[in-house]
Amino acid sequence: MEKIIRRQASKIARSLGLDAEREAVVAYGLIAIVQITITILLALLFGFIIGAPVEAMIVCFSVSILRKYSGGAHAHDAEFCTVVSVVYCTIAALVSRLLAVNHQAVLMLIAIAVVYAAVYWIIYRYCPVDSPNKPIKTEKKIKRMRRGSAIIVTVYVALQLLFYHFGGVSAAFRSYGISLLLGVSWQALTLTPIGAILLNKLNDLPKYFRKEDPR
Amino acid sequence: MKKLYGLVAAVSTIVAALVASSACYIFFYQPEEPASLRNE
Repeated sequence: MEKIIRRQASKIARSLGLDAEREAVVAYGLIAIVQITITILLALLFGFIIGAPVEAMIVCFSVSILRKYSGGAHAHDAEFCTVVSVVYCTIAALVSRLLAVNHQAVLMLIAIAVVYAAVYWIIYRYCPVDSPNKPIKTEKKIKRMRRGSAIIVTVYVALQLLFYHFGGVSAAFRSYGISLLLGVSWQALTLTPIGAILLNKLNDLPKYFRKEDPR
Repeated sequence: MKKLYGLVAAVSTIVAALVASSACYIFFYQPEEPASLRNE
């Protein structure tokens, strides 16, 4: 996908007489537009298929909004990134729907307390997690990203408590609350060394499928 | 066609600038960031 987009960006740059740097910026923006659009549309489509589109979107956006400030482990290519994101959004949405059937108020409250305590600690300890393709070096930016992540998580806590409150009367809100919790948990996991190892292992998965039969 | 290319280039540049202010790409893939967008 990235190769095709870069070829298109090169065509646009030639047509408009842009230099190499401007071409790279256009390609960077185009990759973002295509990847974000495809991922959201696929997550929404699979959400509709399993009957939980709102939950799929809550997982998708809770991960991506926090990720803007926190960073996190990465997939090796855009296609695999889309697959991982869509699969997780769909599974988490389905799990939310199933768990919301039984109202376990005390258990949910304990889960909220434990998850958010862990998320705040992970942000304090690891955030922001950069990548070789986009390093974060200055102390100023590190502090800004950490502060941004903490603010977003605090907004999530407020939303979570709202969902918890209305979850007492509506299974839909219970399901939304669980989706948010699963989204935040997944994003926090990708900030930790365990999450990086897990994503690295997942990155190796396509190799097994591409492996030719030795016979 | 040139007008369409111009529009695509303008929108892509705006999105690139928006994404550049974040810690990483919004999802799990991070292509190499152009030097002019770097703010380490």
